[in-house]
Amino acid sequence: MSTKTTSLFPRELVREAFTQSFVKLAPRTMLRNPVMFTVEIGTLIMLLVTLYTAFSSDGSQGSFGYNLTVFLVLFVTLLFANFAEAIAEARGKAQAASLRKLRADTPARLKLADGSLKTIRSSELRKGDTFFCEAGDAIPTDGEIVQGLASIDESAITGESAPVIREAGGDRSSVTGGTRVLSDRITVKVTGEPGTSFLDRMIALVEGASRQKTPNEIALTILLAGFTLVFLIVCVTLKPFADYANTTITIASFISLFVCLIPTTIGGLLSAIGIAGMDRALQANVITKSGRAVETAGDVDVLLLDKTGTITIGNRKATAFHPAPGIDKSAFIKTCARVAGG
Amino acid sequence: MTKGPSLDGAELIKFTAETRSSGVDLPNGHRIRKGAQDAMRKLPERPGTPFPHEVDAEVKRIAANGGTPLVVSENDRVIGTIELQDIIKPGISERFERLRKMGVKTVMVTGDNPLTAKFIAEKAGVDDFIAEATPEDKMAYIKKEQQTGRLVAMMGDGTNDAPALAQADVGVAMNSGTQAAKEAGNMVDLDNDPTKLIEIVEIGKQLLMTRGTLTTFSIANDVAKYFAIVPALFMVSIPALGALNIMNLYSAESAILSAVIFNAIIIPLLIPLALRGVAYRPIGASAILRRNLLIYGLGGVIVPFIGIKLIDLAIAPFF
Repeated sequence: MSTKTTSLFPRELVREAFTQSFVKLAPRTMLRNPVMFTVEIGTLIMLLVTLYTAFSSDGSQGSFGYNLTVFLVLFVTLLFANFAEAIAEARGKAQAASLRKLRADTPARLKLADGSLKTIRSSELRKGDTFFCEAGDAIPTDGEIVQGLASIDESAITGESAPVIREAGGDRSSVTGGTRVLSDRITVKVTGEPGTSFLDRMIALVEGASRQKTPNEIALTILLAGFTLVFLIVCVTLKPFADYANTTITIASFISLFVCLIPTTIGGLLSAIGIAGMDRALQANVITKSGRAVETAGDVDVLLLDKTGTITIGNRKATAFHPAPGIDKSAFIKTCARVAGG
Repeated sequence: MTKGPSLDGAELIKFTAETRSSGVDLPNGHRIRKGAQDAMRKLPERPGTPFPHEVDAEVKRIAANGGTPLVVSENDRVIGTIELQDIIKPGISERFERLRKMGVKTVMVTGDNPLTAKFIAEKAGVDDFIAEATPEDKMAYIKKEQQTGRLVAMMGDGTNDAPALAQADVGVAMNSGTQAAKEAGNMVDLDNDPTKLIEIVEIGKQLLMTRGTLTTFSIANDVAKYFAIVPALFMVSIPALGALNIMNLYSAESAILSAVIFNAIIIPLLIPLALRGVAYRPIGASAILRRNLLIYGLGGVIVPFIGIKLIDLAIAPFF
């Protein structure tokens, strides 16, 4: 978990992102991004124009080489934009993969109604089942301790090497799948269906499968789509002006002007920025349930902070004892010792 | 109160949010309790013993000095006070200063009495504090702030915190916390580190800033691209428009190609910035806006002029 990606573009991620750049050319995927979708349409038109100039002697559309170059540059623009999103996703996936290792199918000892134990796979555990773990066992899935107390090694997910105590009842009763019991024995009740644990949700989120656009992103996408429409009108109305001036403007020029004016830079990078934000949260060892939460955190006006642990260091220290009148000081300190730490 | 056995037959009385006191019941029948003054006051006053005013004075003195007075009673009789001192984390007040510059109000939540809370709040440099806080107090505070249109973030771990975590706009639950708290919040901190909330706010701010600056940059780029393409389109038929060809590009075709090529390569060039985020500097919202407008707004106008000209110089020999 504490693996920090030092290089921004590790080779194997680049290779995967490169493949994904082509896969993402599918119009259905491109449609999610109106700006780049119009670039894709422009690229297709350029392809047709290029083919036309290749097989026709009509020179009004410029040379074949010029049209081919414009087409190739536009095509590369699309690939670059897709690559930005793909590399961000690949980085998220790499993070998720290290999380998923914790999800290896560990055996679970299911507690049956008659109290006997049956060993099953952790993926077979259902919400409400209870399982048993003792020293040395890996905890198969998220749950709440219903009986017992144990020290647990959570270093696999937190990177913190000191074991923690978890016990039934109270505020510290939950255990996370992938952690390991170091001592004692506990009975745990499963709190979620398979595939719905925090790790599962986080993995789905960073992989982009369940990533939904945040309200801010939607607003910006609409704004950018608006710009695109305005520039489309600008380019189309240029035609009568050009006709009036007796200027012929080639299709390649029209499409180039349009693609240059529409906000392709931000259009291509928008989703990468969002994914990278969630990725940074994950690197800080924070699991977010939605990309929206990270964004909202950036807009926060008021922070409620618990004094202990945030502002002051852990527990307070007793620095003086003041007995009430008529109470012997040493007897008072002795009494205080009985209630220390409780 | 929850009771639990201990080794010598004494019964430990755990702290609960309800009684706000804890202690031990000894086998010989002695009941020892400790807690905050207001919680402990009820104990002797119920059977009719007055709360000793010497202890009262001691409590006030300790609290005024930033300590936490813990009142100890034996068999419902107050026998004295323990003075506890808090140690403020090094560097935390600088962190709050940074947050203040970013326009974020920090509120300290504590079970301490108002005097102690005020002392620590001032020493640590937080903007406000909730003393003797109950879960209801926290909830009320969040609602009050939200009514004035503010967004509130908090961190919590217990079942007590679940309603407030759900109410807050950003609720960070600790991984060690209860399942209820984890379900209620919208983030989980695997490290159980309370300062993480500050980091999360910084990550969020960085995300918003990155998006804002790249949008500015992208739109500012239009100026140069316009000056590259439009004169090129009309240069032949309206030579007067040649004056607009301020970059002195080689030909109409090279001008258009240069603009399109610049438009394409600027995307991969900006990928590292998109992934890493723009540098986060806690220098205040308006200062950041000014700075980013200068760098990404003005830069967004100038960079493409240079870029397009260079590309034009490179491809001119082919035309």
